[in-house]
Amino acid sequence: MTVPQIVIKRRLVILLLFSLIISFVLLGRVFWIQFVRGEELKNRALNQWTSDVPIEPKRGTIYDRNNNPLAISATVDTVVASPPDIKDVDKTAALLSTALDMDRKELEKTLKEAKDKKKGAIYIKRKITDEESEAVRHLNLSGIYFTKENKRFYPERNLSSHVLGFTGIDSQGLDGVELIYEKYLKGTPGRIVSETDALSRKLPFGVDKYVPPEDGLDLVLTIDKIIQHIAERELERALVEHKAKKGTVIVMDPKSGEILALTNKPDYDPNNYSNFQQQLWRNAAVSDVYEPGSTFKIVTASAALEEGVARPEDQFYDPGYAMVSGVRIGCWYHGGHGSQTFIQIVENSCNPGFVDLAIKLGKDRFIKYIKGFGFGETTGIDLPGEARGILEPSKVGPVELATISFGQGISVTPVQLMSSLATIANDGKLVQPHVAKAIIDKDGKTIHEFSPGSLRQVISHETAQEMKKILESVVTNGTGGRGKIEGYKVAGKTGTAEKYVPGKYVVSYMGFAPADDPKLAILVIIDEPSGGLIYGGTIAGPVFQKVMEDSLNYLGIEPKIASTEENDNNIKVPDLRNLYIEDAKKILLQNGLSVRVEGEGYVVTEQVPLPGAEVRRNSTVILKVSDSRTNKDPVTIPNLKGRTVKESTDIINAIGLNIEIIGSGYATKQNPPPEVEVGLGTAVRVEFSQKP
Amino acid sequence: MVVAERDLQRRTFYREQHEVLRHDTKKQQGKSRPNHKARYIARLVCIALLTFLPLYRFSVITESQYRLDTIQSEIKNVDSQNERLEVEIANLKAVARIEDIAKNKLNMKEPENQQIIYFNVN
Repeated sequence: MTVPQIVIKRRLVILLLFSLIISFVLLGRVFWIQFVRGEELKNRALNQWTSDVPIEPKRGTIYDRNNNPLAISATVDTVVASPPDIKDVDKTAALLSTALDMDRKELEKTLKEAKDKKKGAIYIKRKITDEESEAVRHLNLSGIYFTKENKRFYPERNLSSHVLGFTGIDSQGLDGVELIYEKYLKGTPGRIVSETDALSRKLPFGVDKYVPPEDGLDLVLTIDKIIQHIAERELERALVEHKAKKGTVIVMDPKSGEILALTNKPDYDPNNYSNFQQQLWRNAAVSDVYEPGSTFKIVTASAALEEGVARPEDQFYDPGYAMVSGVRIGCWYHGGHGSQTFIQIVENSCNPGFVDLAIKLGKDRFIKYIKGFGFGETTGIDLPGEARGILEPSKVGPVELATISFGQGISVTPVQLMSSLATIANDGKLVQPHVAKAIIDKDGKTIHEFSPGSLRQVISHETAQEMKKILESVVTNGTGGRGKIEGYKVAGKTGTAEKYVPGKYVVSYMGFAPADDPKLAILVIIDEPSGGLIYGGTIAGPVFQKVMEDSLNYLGIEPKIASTEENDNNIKVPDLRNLYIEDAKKILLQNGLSVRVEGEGYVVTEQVPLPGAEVRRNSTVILKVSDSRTNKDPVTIPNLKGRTVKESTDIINAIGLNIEIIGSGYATKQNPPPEVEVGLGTAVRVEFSQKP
Repeated sequence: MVVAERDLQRRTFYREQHEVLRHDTKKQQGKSRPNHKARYIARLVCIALLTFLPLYRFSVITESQYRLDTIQSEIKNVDSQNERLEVEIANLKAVARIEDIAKNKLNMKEPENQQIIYFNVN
């Protein structure tokens, strides 16, 4: 049967229409894909057929001020596993765990999980040592590969760890200058973009795009690694010697605010910081606050001089205490210092004298100077976690004002205290302490220099000069004697603050040298030393003296004072420990030394300075006595004349003799007579009568 | 007839001329056949050489590329070795280590004040 032409034509028209509609729909779809969703789909496709691998930049080196590296980055191996390529997981895990010192079961579990989940690649151990890398290479395991990563090395180990800080596993700064100067040190990552097939394999003739990484810039610190080492060595020695809990030393150039050394002990090794307790990461020098004690008196004295409420030659009287709003505030020296000049108040570190000054200054003026010296606000040092200290003027009443005058009832950070001392050394100008000196590029060209300069004039040039002289006399004639350095003029101040836990102290010593042209200012703080005599001068003073002397020698600062005369006048301190106190006193007076006795009892248990130390004629030796017994044999019979029965019994027992008492009251006669030498356990017959 | 004779002479001359030409060409043809072959072979060799040239160049480029890659990876290795040596030098120069060696191994002592002499180096 033939189909009529008209039917064929109609079918053709329908087909045409149908084709047209299909074409329009397809065109519409193409339009939709190309123009409406084009950008999005293009990106999705790009992600699918390219692999974008970031390239880690090399982190900048950190140098000390003399370009000695303190933190360096170097390329090391990281072990990566490709789970689909591992044939025998158990065997691989067993061999790898031995070579990389890892837990075998855990590694086995990780590998199996990754294999089950069909993961492309997983890290086994990142940034391994050369020995580990060699061991893994020897195993020649299938599915185990190496990639290169940058690892941070701190060649000086613990040295300056609280300034440097440390970096995390992805080379990001986590503490110290590593954190503060992260933006300069880290650099810009590069990338490799390459085309891949459906199984993420790189196409052999695919187009690669390579954007090179930009390495980080280098950082030069103000730290001098030799001075830093001296400070750490001496602080560590003092902590061991005095069985102290912790300590801090800061060395600063008072004119520029550059920190030459900053250390807290105990500390940690940033190479493996995770092996140390977190509290050891804490930079106590900037983050911890403490009651400064007498070292704070430099602020009170400066304010008093600047405001004219006292002149150096003004006379004061210390009865041993001061009464403020009905509260009795005692002097550290029992019985008081009596009549003394302003200079002697500072030399003797006399508390009632400073209370007097604070009262004369008044709250507002005193607070103005406390704030002026930078207390109650951060110094702006370029280290993380700086504390502001505790100073609340609204809560300062007359008693608080009085206690603040000698450094109790106010909390400061060591770096704030250092900054206030530097202000005096720097002719009254407050400088900002800082640890970064410059940012340099790989060719050593300076990109940026840090020199914050002075912030404000706190006290006048004249007052600062006056204070320098007074602090120098604290070292020459006062409590700061242990800071003396032969040939140099040293200015200093001691500090001893009792903590809220009775019997626990924080001792400090701070000073600068040469006093007339200060090159270095040093603060030493020792927390909770144990043992006999706990004074800033006796415990922190020797640390200050040694650090200052060694640093001045290292810097080539020539001694200016001729020391021959001093040498002739020097006397070696004899060993007085375990002696009856009266015998010890006699020996000291014969040697041309004066004596100060502390404690109750008749036997010397501690002495400062220690035996063998060289001191100048007429220096004071502090003897701490207790009621223990001596074991000296033979015993020299003491003179008991005028002593009570109890005193005589205690003395005779303390030196290992027996007493035979006749009568009561005061001793009048004794047998054997004084100065006779007898054996231990000899009986001494003492006659007493009511009238001496 | 004089005219016809001349005409004959002319024809003979032309024929002779033509003969000479043909003879020359034949001679020439006999000589040029081996030349032509040589040229043909030379051309072939040239073409073959020309086709080898890019191949050779490709091989040189690939070889250079390979050498470049090797050198670059060598540089990388040396660089990373340098980095490690720098770390090692820094480790060896650690001030605590040097002090320990000086004091305990070499029995060195810190100078007394009298032993220090100051010079003006400027």
